Amino acid sequence: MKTVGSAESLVPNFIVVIDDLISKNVFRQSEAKLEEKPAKMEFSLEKLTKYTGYYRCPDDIKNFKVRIKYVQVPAGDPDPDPEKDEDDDDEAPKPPDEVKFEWQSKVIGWQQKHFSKSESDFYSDPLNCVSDLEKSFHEQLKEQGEGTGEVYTYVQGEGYSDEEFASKMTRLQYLVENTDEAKDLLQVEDDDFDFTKHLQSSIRNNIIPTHVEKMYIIADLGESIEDIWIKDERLLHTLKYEANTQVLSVYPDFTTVEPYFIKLTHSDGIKYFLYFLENYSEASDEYNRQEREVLQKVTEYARDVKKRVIGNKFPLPPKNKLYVYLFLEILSARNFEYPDVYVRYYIDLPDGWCCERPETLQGRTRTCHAVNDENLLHFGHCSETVLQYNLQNLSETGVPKTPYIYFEVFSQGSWGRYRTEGLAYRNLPVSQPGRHSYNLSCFRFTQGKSAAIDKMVVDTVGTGELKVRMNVVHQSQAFLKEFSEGERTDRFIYEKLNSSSLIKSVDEVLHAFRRARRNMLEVRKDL
Amino acid sequence: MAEVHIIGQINQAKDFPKQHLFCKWHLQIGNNWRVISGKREGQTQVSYSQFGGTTTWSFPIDIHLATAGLQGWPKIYIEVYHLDWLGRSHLFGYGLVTVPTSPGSHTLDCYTWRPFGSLRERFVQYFLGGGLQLKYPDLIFSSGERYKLSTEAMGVVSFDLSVLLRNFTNYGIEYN
Repeated sequence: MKTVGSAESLVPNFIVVIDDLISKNVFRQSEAKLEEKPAKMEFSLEKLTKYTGYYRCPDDIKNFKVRIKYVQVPAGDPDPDPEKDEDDDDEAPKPPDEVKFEWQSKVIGWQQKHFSKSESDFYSDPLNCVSDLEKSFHEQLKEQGEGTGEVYTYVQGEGYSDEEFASKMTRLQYLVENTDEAKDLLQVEDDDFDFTKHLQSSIRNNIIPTHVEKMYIIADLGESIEDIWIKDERLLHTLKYEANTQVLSVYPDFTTVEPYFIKLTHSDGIKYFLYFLENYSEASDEYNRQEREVLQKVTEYARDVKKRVIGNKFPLPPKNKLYVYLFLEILSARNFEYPDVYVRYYIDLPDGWCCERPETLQGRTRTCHAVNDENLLHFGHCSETVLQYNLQNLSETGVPKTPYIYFEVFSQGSWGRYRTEGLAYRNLPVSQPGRHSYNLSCFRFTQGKSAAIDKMVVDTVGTGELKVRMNVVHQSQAFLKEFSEGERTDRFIYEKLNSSSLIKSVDEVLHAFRRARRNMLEVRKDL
Repeated sequence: MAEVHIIGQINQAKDFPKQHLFCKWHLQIGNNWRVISGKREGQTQVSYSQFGGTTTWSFPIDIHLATAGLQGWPKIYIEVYHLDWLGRSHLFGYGLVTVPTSPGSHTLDCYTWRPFGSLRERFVQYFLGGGLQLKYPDLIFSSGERYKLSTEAMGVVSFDLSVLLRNFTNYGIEYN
């Protein structure tokens, strides 16, 4: 599979690394402008792994352009290391020291013919041009003059065959037929996996691309000996485009940082041919516009779907109300004396607060049987309730009274006896939305009765521990953007409410109403 | 219309009496709520740990919801099962946990329980496995009926959840 001589330093790997097919977009990539390389550069010439780059090309392939930059440089000082094998192809050449590179570059469009010296001689004679393609080459030559560069192209229809690729295919088939070697090569140790079968089936099911257009970028790296040009044609790049899937493959892939190189053994010494291949295409306006349109359509559709599913109505509380959504969870308890325990809770609402569904203000859990040394109890009780606060009270009282939640832990003994195991209470975190967890320590009255407590000193004893969690969310029209004044830096809910213009406007309305009422009464008195 | 993303995982189970556990989960939402994308229920793989008593599932959850009201905020309902060496699965716990209402990433513990049978039922359960199950697990959601149950504490299932909220501020909602 190696081509003539020892100069082919980059043996293509058998296993082709397939790059991420989707994420790369050849036209997108080009939006970042390619930087001009400075004329003088130092390369640490390391062997670049050649692999195929696959690119999605949603735009017209006619807009695709590559730029190849190349230079031929003599090698640096001969390597003093005598052990080194001169003919070793895999060895990276030494970087040419302090050589001023004179890069030449050529922009090549898709299926754009560039002529070599011998080709331009050939096609400039109309007698040589028989087929349509050849005639078009002749016309092209007449327009642009003679091709001179050492880099040129073969386009679709010229009958140039891709030897590397062909040899790779035979190699693959060879491996399939000689399974032992295939196994050795891939070091499959698992006997259960029939490697032959799967490899064969993957080859059999191989999707054969039918509409493939190819073009090749070629360099003639020959030399002239005694005025005779000895041709040395090298394939630099193979570009393939599959029109059905709009996928472009570039082998070897684009490079912008490190050049590929070819080692040349010429009569006047070893030389290196260095070359870069860059994606030089520019995204067309048409393509950008299309993409924007598609994106817009997608987002509009998603919005429509959501609207259709949910509708656009999200009920707001009345203007004078603050809604406090309370999601209460009674999680677990421990260290209560008796094993079968349940919890009752009750939310006490002070003045200014109300609840549309008072039955949600109280509840009880399942009975749970304690396990392990700690008498662990799991309740996992979830409930939710909506507390409403009248915002007019806020202007009168300043800081509103806080609702409290009371817990009572009961044990259920045999014979249906119930005991109060513990009591706990907590002010609800209504002023701070978010998630709150509490470990409440419970106590019990020593007299054994919870009711009828006089206002005197009572003896209590600490019992178990209750774990509860609350999620609090607020909703009020006062929080709407239209009513907030300036930056929202207030930390606490009542400050937020007080700074809202809605509250002020409600106050003003109330004052105006009271004034009007007083006036009206006075007017009536006079009558 | 406001939107909620719940992204995370059912992380692990601890303090269960046995290993080889799997978990069925279901997102419980109110009538106002709709699932826009993502799976609303699922089942984890059977998992056991050779080291320590925790069973790790790391089962992914990714749901996108839309709502027209805060009532019926999402809750995750789980059923934990034990798969024994005969291939039978036994109920090991029910659990219900409220998804946090504040955005951000949260670690959430769900305290599970299972029905606690009579002495004879527990005796049978001890030797033969199995045990009581709820005929109508729906009654876990209705707090009214729940108190008739007698249960015992089982393990804790922990969740790692990230909550993303969108457009709630347009409706005068403050969540943190």
